[in-house]
Amino acid sequence: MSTMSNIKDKIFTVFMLVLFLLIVWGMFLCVLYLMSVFVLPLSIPSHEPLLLSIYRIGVALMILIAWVVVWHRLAIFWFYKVLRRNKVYEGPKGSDSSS
Amino acid sequence: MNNAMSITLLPLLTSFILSAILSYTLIPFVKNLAKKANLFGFDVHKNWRPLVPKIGGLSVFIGVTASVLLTSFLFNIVDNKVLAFVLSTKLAASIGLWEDFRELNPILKPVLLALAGLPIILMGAYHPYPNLPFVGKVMLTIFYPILVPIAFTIVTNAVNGMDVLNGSMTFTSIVATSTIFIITFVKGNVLPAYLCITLLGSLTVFAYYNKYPAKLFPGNVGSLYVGASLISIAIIGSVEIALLIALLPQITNEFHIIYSMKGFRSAKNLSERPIFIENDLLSANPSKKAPLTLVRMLTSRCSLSENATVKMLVTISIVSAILALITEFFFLK
Repeated sequence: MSTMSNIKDKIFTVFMLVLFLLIVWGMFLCVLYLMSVFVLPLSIPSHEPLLLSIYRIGVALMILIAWVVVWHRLAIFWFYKVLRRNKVYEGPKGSDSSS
Repeated sequence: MNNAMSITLLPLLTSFILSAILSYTLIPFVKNLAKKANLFGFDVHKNWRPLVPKIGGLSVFIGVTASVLLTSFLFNIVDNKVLAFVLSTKLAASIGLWEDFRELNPILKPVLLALAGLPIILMGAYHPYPNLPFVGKVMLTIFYPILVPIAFTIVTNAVNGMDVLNGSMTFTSIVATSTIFIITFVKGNVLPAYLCITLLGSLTVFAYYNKYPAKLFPGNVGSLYVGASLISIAIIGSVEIALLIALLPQITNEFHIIYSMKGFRSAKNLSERPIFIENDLLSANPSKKAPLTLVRMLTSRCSLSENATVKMLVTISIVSAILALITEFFFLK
């Protein structure tokens, strides 16, 4: 019974991590697209006003920072709310480890 | 598929076999060297905490480099890109070896790893026209050389950060290398395919010694070398986006460690460890102060053996590899 539950937990964990990876992949593609929309025109020689160029860089930086924060928040949410089962862990008993 | 057929299989096969034989031959030498230099690491995930030689990656580095130099001359495919690959990866391996002897400052290390990308830039072994999803090829003549050192730091650190369990770095890197090999082979991109297969030859042999229970650790020399090889091949072959997606588990792992620790810090300075060990089983530390790692996420629901955790890491890497293939073949113009 315990082995069966362990297998179910393993499958659940892998499935949920794959789902997390799919979201991260989707976010990565979206950010890449948005960044290219905002930043790429800067690499093409044009007579664009300086303010517009600064605006492009600012928006690109904001997208990048937002992505980093959302990515980490999502991982925290996934770990504590999706993956972990409450009251299953009763604290350290053995030696700790560096992972 | 016509392009793939046009690739001469002989250099690929020769390079694979040669790097595998060279690495296999070098393993006893590397073990002796580790003994003489007293370079051992405790296998902390086992109750009996065995001491394992920790510069096994030296066999991968020498095996691949010697094989690349020999076969590229033999089959007349030597050019500045091959030399840039050899130089960049040699620099990364040297930084790794240095860290195996003496721990590097956690801020200096990424800076040095960024410098390892310089031969690629200085020798012009890159195409500043990356192929972006939905957008197509874009001209980044000014930005691209700036992005190369950043990519070097990200990828080498990410691969290095995955070297936490027996075989975890080796097997996940085999998956990523195979993905890049498939892409470049199908596209008829001979040089990166040839570099990939050479790396695969050495990694396959090394995996036998690094699998659970490990007889040899890759060390920083091994993991930084493999990371540098992967990013060099991706830049030379213009498959940067595919590599970043294939390495999503490694990059995710490293990113959350850095974010949780609020910057580059030594793992020895951690106030809370990410996982605990009890009866050879790994379980996640529930404390909010512990850094978020992929192994911690995997062991969050139930305690796992080291071997089972590595198998799950490899499964996730395979999914990432499939996503990389989907992106490369369906989302790139």
